[in-house]
Amino acid sequence: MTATPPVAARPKYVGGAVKRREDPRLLLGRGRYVADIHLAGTVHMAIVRSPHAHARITSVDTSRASAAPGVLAVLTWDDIRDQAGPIPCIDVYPDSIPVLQTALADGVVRYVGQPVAVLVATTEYGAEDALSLVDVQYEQLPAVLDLDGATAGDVLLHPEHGTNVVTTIAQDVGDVDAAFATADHVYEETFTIHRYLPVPMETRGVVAEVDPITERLTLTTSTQFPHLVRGFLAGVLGMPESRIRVVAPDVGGGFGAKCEFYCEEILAPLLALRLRRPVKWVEDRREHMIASSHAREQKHTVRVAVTGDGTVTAVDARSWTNNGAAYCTLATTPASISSAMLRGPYRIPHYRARAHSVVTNKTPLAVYRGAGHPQAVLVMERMMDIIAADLGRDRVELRLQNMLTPEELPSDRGTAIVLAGQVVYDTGDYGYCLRRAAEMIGLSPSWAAEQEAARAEGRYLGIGVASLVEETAIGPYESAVVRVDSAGKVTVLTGSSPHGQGHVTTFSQLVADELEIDLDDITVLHGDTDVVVDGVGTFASRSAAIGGAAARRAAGVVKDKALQVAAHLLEIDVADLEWRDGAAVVRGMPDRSLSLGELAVAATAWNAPLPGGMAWNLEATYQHQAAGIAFSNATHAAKVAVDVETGQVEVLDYVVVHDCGTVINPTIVDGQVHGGVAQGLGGTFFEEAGYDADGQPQALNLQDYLMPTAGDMPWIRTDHMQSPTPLNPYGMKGAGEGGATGAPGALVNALQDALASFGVTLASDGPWTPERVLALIPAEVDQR
Amino acid sequence: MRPANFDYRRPTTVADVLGDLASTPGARVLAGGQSLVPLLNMRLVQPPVVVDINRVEGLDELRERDGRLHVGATVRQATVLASERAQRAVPLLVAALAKVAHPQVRSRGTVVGNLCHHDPASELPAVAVALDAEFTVAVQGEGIRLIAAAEFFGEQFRTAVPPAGLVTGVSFPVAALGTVAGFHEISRKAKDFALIGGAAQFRLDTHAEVVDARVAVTGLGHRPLRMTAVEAALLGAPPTDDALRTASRLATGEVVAEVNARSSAGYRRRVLPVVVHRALRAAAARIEVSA
Repeated sequence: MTATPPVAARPKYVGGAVKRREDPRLLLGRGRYVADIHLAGTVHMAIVRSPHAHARITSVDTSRASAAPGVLAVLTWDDIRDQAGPIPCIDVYPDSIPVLQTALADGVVRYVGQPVAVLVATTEYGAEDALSLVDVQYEQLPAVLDLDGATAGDVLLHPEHGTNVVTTIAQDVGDVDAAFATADHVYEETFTIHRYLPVPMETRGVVAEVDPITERLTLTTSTQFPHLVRGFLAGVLGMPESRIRVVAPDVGGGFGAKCEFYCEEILAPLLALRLRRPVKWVEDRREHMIASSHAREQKHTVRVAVTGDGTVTAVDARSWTNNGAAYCTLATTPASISSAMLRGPYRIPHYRARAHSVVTNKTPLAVYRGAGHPQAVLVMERMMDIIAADLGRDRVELRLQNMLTPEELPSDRGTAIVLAGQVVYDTGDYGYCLRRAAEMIGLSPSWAAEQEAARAEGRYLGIGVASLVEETAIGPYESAVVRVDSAGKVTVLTGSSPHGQGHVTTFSQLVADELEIDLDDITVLHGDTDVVVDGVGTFASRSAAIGGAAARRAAGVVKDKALQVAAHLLEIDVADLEWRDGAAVVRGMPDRSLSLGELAVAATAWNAPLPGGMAWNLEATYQHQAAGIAFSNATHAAKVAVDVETGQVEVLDYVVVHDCGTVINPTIVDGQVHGGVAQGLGGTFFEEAGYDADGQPQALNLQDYLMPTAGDMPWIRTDHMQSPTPLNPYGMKGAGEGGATGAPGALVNALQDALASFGVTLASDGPWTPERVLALIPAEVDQR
Repeated sequence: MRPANFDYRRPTTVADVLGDLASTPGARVLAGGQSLVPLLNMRLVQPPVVVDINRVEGLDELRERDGRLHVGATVRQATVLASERAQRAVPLLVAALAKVAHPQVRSRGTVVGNLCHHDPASELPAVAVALDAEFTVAVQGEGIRLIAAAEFFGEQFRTAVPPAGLVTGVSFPVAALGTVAGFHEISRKAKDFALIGGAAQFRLDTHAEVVDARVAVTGLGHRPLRMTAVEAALLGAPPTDDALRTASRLATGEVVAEVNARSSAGYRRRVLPVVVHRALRAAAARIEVSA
């Protein structure tokens, strides 16, 4: 019974659960992060930060610190103001009021943690010791922290502008007023979304050094976009980009917090240029909680017009984003996305939004996994449940009635997202994802009876769903270089620098399939602007779809060239060749072939010239430009049990039916979904970056800022639907943010379902601590 | 998050530890380091000297003697948790240890260090109070002083250990046959600090009725509180769930709002009977197992 198996066709890597090529190195502790970099002669930077939420700096005396042992330099704003321009914000609107940050405070501090002075010492301990020797005198000013207070404008952060509302974004679609005039039902709710911290496992860090030979500056920084940092730094310091090299080594998570350009990335280079020694700074966790970007905090007031049959005809939405003290590099994107995407998968032909970015005395706020999407999904999905409950309609049926169908796509939604462009949904079957998720979680017509029976036994169960459409794969472009060496091994350079997503694996899969070679024959390089000259970065779930497409297209160009070289060598027409198993093969003559390595050698300079002036070497550069935004979609469904004696919530089951177009690697997509759900669950139940009335942050460590751990997570069940996008040749959309985008909406809806019998209407994303949940439950509820 | 300068000593005898502690006011003892080291890193404490007791001979003993289980000052939480002897002798201690932090912390953290740190939300002080534990304290020039748990815990993060004294160990009475124990706590998330926690232990006599009931609660105020009314109500009756619940409703004690402020006083007051009930229920669930 030993039949000879048929010769297996080369397995396709794309779509396969290929193990991450990065992992053996990372799991064995061989990662190399900023903190692992030890250059000879390194000196250490430390930052004097504001202890006040709002104060005028009346004096800074650096004399004691300067005299401390080992201290090499102490600088204040006055020392660098001529050398460092403001930190750019790249997503301003034409009528935005410019409230930019400077590398050190310019006379006024506007949040606790704002850099006031910087010093360098020969040891990191010495640097930290010297911080307390910098004498800063402050005159405290009243602080404003909440959106209502800031909008009222009694306390102004930037009095010269006369307002704290620094950007207002308008989205207008159809005739909202007419739709409300003819509506049978009008619903209005106000939702609050609290402040989160992204909290990557690796905090930020920088090493800056000046090459004594070339006089060039190298900035090694834990960032999501080294190429953009190079441009920002050049602009701020007034240096040519050609004199700057930016390196992102292993980056231990970013989630948006490292999709920013920070003052430390200016200060360390300035000090390195001054001292001619490598200058290093690694953010400690306490600093991270106040000095890296914050996220999410918004307030939404929405009015929804509904006709008698349950058709949602219009939404009139106002939102306020608590941007903290000034613009980040990406400042208006959360408000822009929330306002452009609020309607999610629903038709809702008439829509008006006014989204305000508001400054307050908190740490500046920027994008965080999902940017403005999770807030919008929470608001819309809560409203769908509120409407369904009021109309006595099934939650799933009401959603399906209002959802765009595949036949209605593409659909120009009439809104726009800053930097990304017009919102035109491309592909997807939103209803399928919803129906499938509802079926998997057990949200059937009999659910209400099951729930009632459990309640009779003292168990309060709830199911919530949240459907979403999310902007992914934004442009403008990404670059890739594919190069074949004389051994036939392939090097891929990508401008999309990863921070944990597994680019080395997925980009290898794409290129391996294009060239029909083994993964092990491919080396993927990234994260160094001297190695990869051009690039954009990793954010907005863009890398696979934009950077991956660029890499595969570059490989395709190399393959075409290899075929032409083969045709030349074999003196036959290129049409008589085919590409198979990494070689050019004469059609019908499988023994006559030239391998990738042979062709690469033939194209090198010591061999005969190629025909027609073809460039030497098997190498191609390709820039993939995004023709539009690719929109992923998903439905999340959560089942929870509430302990009505203690207010504790247990997530019993969690389902995500997800559609990110062509899946390159289902394990990696699952991992992205799982991680995102963890962050959404963390925000819904644990995480809160609170402030006291004076503007003192209440979460300065991970005892106070509670992160979800494995013990808090449900088993997440995923199902993948694949609706390829036509916006790239391979159909990939983004997968990185959908998990975080859907989780708060699904979990809060589940909690609402569990507690509905108490007559509550949840209108916030919590965090729903045991205490806050118990407060919704009457004390006399007898669990038995 | 880097400690200020300090001197580091690592003596090998109790006498030398006492000498180091006495010679430098403000010196701190390092055992497992799970509380002290973060405090040092955050510069919330800046002792001139840190005295590492991990090389002191004899402090790592876990042994039963004269009807008590003695736990030395450098005995790790993980060691006690894994000890069958400890499980048999002081089941409540082991039940509570399972709730203390994570395995990584327990593998370094010590039982005595946890008690001496006296976090007002910590599990082990409630066990110590419930079981009338006894602390052995060495004081220079005085010898050994015994301090009962009821007198040991002061305001939060304070104890009755005299300046320059060293707690060399703690002992718990060995449980009589038929003793069952349970610990229940409410926290904001898995393995986080307790908002409130209850320790319960009792024994059944030959009539299957409760004797020697001990109940204490942590997280309410500065120090763990014995729930004497609950204990009294349990005595002499079978531990049915109704009986446990009824007794739990008698749980009462002053809640200090500003202590363990991870939750409000109102929340802790409301869930106090629930926590006591569930701790008792956890103990009762062990009855068949031990029978």
